[in-house]
Amino acid sequence: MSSLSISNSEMNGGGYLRKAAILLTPLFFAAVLNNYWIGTLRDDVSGPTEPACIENSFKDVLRRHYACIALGNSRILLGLNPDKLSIPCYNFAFQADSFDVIYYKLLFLEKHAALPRLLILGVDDYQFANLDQTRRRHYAPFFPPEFESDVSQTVPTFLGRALNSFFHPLSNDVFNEYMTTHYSQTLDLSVKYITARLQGRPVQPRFVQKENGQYLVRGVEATAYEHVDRSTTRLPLQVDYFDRALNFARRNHIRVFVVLSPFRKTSLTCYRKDIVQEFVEFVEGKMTGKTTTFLSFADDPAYTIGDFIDGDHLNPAGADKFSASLDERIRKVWRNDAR
Amino acid sequence: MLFNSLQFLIFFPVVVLLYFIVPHAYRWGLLLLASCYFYMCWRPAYILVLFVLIGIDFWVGLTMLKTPDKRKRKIYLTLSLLSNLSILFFFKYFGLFQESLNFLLDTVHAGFHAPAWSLVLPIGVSFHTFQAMGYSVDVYEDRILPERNLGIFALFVFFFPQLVAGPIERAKRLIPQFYERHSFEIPRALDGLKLMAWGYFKKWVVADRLTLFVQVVYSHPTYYQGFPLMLATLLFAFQIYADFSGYSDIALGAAQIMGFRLVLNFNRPYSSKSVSEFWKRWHISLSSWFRDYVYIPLGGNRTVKWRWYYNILITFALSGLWHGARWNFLLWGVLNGFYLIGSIWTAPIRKSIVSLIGISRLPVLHGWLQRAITFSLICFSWIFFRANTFHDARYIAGHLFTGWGEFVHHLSELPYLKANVFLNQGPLEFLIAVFAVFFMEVVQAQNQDEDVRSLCSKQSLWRRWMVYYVVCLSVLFLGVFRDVEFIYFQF
Repeated sequence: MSSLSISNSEMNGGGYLRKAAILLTPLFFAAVLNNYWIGTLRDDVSGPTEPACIENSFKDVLRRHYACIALGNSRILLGLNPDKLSIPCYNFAFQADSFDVIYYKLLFLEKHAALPRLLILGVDDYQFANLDQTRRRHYAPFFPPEFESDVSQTVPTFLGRALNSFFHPLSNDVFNEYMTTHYSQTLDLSVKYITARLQGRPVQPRFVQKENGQYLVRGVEATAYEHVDRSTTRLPLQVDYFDRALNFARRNHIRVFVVLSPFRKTSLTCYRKDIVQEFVEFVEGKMTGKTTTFLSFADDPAYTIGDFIDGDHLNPAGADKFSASLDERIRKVWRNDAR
Repeated sequence: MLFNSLQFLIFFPVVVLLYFIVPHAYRWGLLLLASCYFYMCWRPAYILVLFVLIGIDFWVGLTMLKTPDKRKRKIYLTLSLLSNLSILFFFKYFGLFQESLNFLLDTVHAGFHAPAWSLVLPIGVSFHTFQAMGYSVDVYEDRILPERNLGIFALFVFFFPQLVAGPIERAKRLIPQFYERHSFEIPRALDGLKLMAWGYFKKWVVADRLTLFVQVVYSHPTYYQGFPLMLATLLFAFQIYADFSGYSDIALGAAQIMGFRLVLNFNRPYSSKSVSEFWKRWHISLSSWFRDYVYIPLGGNRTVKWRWYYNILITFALSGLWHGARWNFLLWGVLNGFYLIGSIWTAPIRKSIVSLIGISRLPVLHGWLQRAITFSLICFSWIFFRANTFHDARYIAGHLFTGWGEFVHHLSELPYLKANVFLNQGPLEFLIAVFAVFFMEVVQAQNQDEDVRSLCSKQSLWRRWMVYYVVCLSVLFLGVFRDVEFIYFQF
């Protein structure tokens, strides 16, 4: 006998349903209105979302054939303005890109016959210490399936993968991202929008993705009270991908400039000197042959707090300064190469 | 599977629907299957560990029933306790043991190390092993008859709402409920839903938001002194309460929808007027477990004074170690033990001071003073619980009262304010966090020893609905949606 049993209180079920409907209707309308409002807000106040930026970058990098491509994480994404370089360049770096993503980006360029002659490869400790999970599914459509298998090292077997998909049929990341981008940001963006309007200021998006790939963050200034909280423990997987990226470039006759962009003095004091020194020696040790050069701007005294937006990212003015300076050093090496 | 995941938000309604469709005789099977799936979403292979423990404890229970000889029964009980504790030691404490051994070997310049052996801790292992051990002791003490249905016994250990972070249930209370015939009752289901919604509010709006503030300071405490250290510790007190009691609310609510009554785990702990009262209101199922299975068997307070103090210290030290294999947790437990012993020692002095200054004639003020002192002591102990290392905890504890001059001096500078008051978050985020904590505490203050379910039913319609809307809209618009595990999952 089936026991889909409802107690005596079922008599009142209609009443409860009515109440639930009354309670939920305003919430439903609030959610619908919000979905309309957040779209406008995002365009006006925030700027494109990360998934949109990733998608745009993969389109834009193929729009024309660039002689130079810059890859790296947010320090290159924000810090390198390709317009300040003397060769056509696209900034193909992105937030938290480590060497696994960088390697697959190179494969993507190869697949689309868009390999550059020159590669600017941003490096820092964190790229070796991080295996980013949050943006992985946004990259997946552009990369071969091996890219996904790096994170599922815990389930390397066929059985493991089958079990994994049985026990994790849904990605919680999608849910979290949807809730964050559609609801959690509403209040913050609304306050910024209303404040700007009340003060008679034009409403400008905080984040801008330029056509050359560079990402700008507006209205943020570095302060003396910021700290850098980064792991410096190198993952063997990332070291392997770093080697693979360099070998790939060598095989394809791409001239590589491995670049350590400027650090703030505060940022440098967050790491022990021996750690920084060991890192520099580690990267220098990888520079074999004449096609790979390491350029470090880490402790360049030309950069002050006024060039940064936070603990370790350059602001647009700082990025222009760094890009011009990088261009000069690249040209110098280039001239030496020619001799 | 996390309660705060999309997967659970789909899994749970499906299980509830099936539970009320399936005939009563098969319901335990359905719940057992659902619980296995729930557990295996984390690491499928680890379920074998639980199966082994369930097998041993089930067999021990039945064997003790057939064995009248007290001595032999003791051997069986020891077998059950040892197997549970071995699993706990193997997975949870081996790392600490090995670390400490290597420290000792280094100290005596032994020239060699114990081999490193890093194991992933089975989720909620401390909860289900304690629940199973409680069962074996209860059978041994003839408080209950052993369960004869292996499936029901497995469900007692496995029941998914309380599988990974409690409340730690007693067999006497939970097992009979698996035999009860539950029908779907709308008022009961609504009460359960209200409790779940309240739990989600605590987790998504309060706890996960406060995490952002707390981790900034506790990741690098040496960058700070004075106010930010105090603020981060205060926020952590609310974070851990909202996180853990939020989990318990979701667990209780989920169980209630299906007709099960789980034990209340939190009862407004921060309104306690003494540390001993706090421990009667905080993680009640664990405190009562330690009281019944450790403190009282050790002799409790019915013994000479020094032995009483010893019993308190041992119980709290074990309770600290239960939380994790770190010396910090042990210290946290011992500190709370000392608080309790201190309160016993100082009781006559405090009594004389109270009568001397006449504050007892102002009971409200006296009560708030007691609450403030208790809360401060508990917050201080949280430093050891939260700090990543003993060195960090020592630094924080030693710098709570330094740097205040500099703090006041720079307070008018916006960047300084952002770093040291808003803890590197925006002012709006800070205001939301303050609102969330305030709202949570106001609602709980209305409770007066009842939970949010009964509170809601006693309020006028507009007040009740206002709370519903604030909770729902807050979860929707103020929730922090990230893959943040419940703090107690790690235990």
